[in-house]
Amino acid sequence: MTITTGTTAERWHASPGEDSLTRQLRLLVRGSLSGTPEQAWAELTDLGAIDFDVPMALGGLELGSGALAVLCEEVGASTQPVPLVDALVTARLLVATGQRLPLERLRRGVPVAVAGRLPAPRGVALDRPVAVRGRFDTTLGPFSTGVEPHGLLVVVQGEFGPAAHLLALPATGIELRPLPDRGGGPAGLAVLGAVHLDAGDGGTASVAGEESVLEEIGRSAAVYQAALIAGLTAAALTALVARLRERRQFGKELLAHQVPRLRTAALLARLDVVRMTVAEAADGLDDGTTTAARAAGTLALAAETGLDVSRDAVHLHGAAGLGRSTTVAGCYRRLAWESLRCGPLPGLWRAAASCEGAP
Amino acid sequence: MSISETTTTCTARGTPDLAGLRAEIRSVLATAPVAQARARRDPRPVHRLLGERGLLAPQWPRQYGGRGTTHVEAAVLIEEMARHDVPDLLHTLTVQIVGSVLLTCASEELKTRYLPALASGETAACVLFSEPQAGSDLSALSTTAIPEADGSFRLHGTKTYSMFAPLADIALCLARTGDGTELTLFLVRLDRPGVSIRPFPTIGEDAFHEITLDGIRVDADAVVGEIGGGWAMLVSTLVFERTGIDYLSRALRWHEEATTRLRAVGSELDLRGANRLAVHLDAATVLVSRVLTRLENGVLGEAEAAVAKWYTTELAARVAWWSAERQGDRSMLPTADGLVDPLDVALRESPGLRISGGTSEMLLETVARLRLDSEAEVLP
Repeated sequence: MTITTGTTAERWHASPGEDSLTRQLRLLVRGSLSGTPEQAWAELTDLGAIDFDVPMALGGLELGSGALAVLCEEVGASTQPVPLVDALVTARLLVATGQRLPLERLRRGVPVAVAGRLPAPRGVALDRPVAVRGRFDTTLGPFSTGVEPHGLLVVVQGEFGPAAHLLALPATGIELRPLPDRGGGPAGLAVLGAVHLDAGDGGTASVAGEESVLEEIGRSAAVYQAALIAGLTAAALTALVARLRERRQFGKELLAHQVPRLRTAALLARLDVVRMTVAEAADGLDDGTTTAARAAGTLALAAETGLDVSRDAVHLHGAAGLGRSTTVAGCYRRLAWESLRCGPLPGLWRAAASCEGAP
Repeated sequence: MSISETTTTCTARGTPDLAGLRAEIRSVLATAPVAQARARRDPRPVHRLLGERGLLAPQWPRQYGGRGTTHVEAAVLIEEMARHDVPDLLHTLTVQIVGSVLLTCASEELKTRYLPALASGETAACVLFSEPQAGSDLSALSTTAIPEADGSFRLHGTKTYSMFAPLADIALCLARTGDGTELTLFLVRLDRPGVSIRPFPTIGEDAFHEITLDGIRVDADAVVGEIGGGWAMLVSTLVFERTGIDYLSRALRWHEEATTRLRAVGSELDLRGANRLAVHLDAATVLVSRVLTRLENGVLGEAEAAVAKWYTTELAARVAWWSAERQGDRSMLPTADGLVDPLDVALRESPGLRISGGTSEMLLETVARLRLDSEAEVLP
C-alpha cells in the first residue's frame, strides 16, 4: 500500500519532538518504498539505509538510532516484505566483530535474512536451536522473503552460550521453503540439515558473536522491531480509517457511527503512545539509557498494540476485511509473527519488569 | 525496567535535575498534617504549608505567588502529593483548572486579586459547570446571568456534581448571557447570599454537591475574559488539566502499593500482571513527559491532551481493578493508623477518573473530530 504524502498530515503533530530533519528523512524513505519488494529494497539500499547505522569510520552515515527507528517504522507502514531489521541487525553484528567483507556486501544491498528469532534483549528466554559439535539440524522461520536472501544469520545456543553465524547461500544442507500465501506478503522457512557452522564450508562464514555483543544487538533489534511493528500497525489503522471514511451504512458513513468511531480513536491514541515510546527507546539506545528491560518492554507494548489494532481493523472492516489481499488482513497475518521475532510476549513482559541494571 | 523503576517520574526524563525541588517538597510534606487531611478530606492545611514556600503553584510567575518553574518541574508537586496520599482534587480544581483559566484569560485586576491567594493556599476554588441536564454536553446548560442596570449580573440556576464546594471560597461558573446563545465565565464568591450547597455522597471519598444560585449578584469585574467567550476559554484551557500527570501519579502510587504487597506474599503469578502494567505505566510516563514539554512550549494541542487524559485515566482504572481483583477484600479494612486503605480509595475513585474532566468517550470524540474527520494521516 502507499501512504499519501501531503500537507494534510501537518494539521496535527503526532510526533512531538520530531524535528524537520527527521521529518525530511521520513518523507524521503516513504518515497522510496513503492513498487515491488525488489525495487523497494534496491531503493532503500541506494538511499544508504544500511549505512545509517554504520560508523563513519567505516564509511557509514552513523545517523543514530532515532533515524533508524523512523526508517523501520516507514518500512513497516509500507508493508513491503523486505528484510530491513534483519539487515540492520546483521550489520551491527558484522561491525562489532570486524567482518568487513560481508559488511560491504550487505551495504551494497545483498540481502540477508535472520532465520528464526532475532537477537533478543537480555533476560528474554528463547528456544534457540542447539548446535552439537558445531552442527545442527533445524527448521527456522518465518521471515520475509519478498527479497530472496543471499545469506542467513542464525543465532544458536552453542557450547559456550549463544552465538551468531552468517551462512552464505546457496549452501549444502540449507533449503529455503516458501510458506503458503495466506496474506501478509511472502514469508519462508529455512530448513537446515546437518549444517556445519565453521567457516570455510562452501562459503559459510562464521561471525560468532560474544554474548555481550549479542546482548547489545538484542536491545537494538527489539527497538527496531518495535518500530517496524508500529509502522505495520499504522498501515492497518490507515486502511481502517480510509474504509470508515468511504463506507456508508444506515444512511451515513461508518465513521459517523459512534461505536466504530470511538473504537478507532482509541486505537489511534494507543498507537500514538507506542510511537512515542519507540522514539524514546531509540534515542536511549544512543545515550545508554535504554536498558534491556526497556527494550523488551517497548517491543512488548508495540506488539500487544499491533495485535489489538490489526484484530480490530479486520473486525471493523466487516467481511471485506477477511479478504486475503486486503491491507488489514495482511497486517493481521504479518503482525502475528513479526510480534514474536524476539520471543513470545509473556517472556518480553517478564524481561521488561525483571531485568535489572545497566544496558 | 524493574517494577520499582516504574515509579520513576515524568520529571526524571530529559529534564533538568529536580532533586532539589523534590527534596524541598518532600520536606514540607513530611511534616505536614497529611494523615489529618486524609481523614478529614480537607487538604487545605497542607496546601497552606506548601503555599508559604511558593510550592503550591510553582509554575505560576513569582508575582502571583509561584516560582516561575516549567510545567515539567511543577509536575514534581503532583507526583509527590500522590506519593504521600494527599487528597489532590482540590489542588487540581484550585490551581490546574481555576488558576490556569485566570492566569490565561482573566483581567490583570482579577489575577492580582485572586492568584496570590490561590497560590498561598489561603483561598480554594471549585468549578460550577455541570447541571442536572447538562454534563458532557455543556451547551445544554440553563444557568443564566441577567445583567443589572449598574453593570452587575444576577445568576440563576442549579449546578451539580461539584466537588469540594464547601471548602472552596470561589468558583468558576459557566452561565448563559446575552440572548441566551452565548456562554460566559464568572468568578463567583460562594459565601454570598443566594448560594446554597447540598452535599450528596459518592462511592469515592469526596461528596458531590448541588449548588443552587438563587439570584446571586456578581459584579461586572467578575467576568473572566470576554462576555460570550466562556466556551472558547474553557476549550483552550482544558489542556492544563488534561496533561495526565495527576492520573499517572495516582496510577504509579497504586501500582507501587499493590506490587509491594504482592511481593510480600511471593505471588509470582500475580506479578505477571504487574509486569505488564509496569510497561504500560512506563509508556504513559513517556507520553505525559512529552505532553508537559509541549505544554511548556505552548504547542500542546487539544487532541494530544485528550489522548493523554484518556490513556492515563484508563490505565489508572486498570491498575485499580487489577489490584482489587487480588486484594480488594483486604483493602476494605482500615490501615494500622485507622485510615482508609489507599487501594480501597483506588477502587472507588477509578470510575470517576474516567468521567470527570471529560469522559473517556468525549475525549475519544475529540480525537475522532480532530484526527479522523480531517484528512490527517495516521502517520505524520
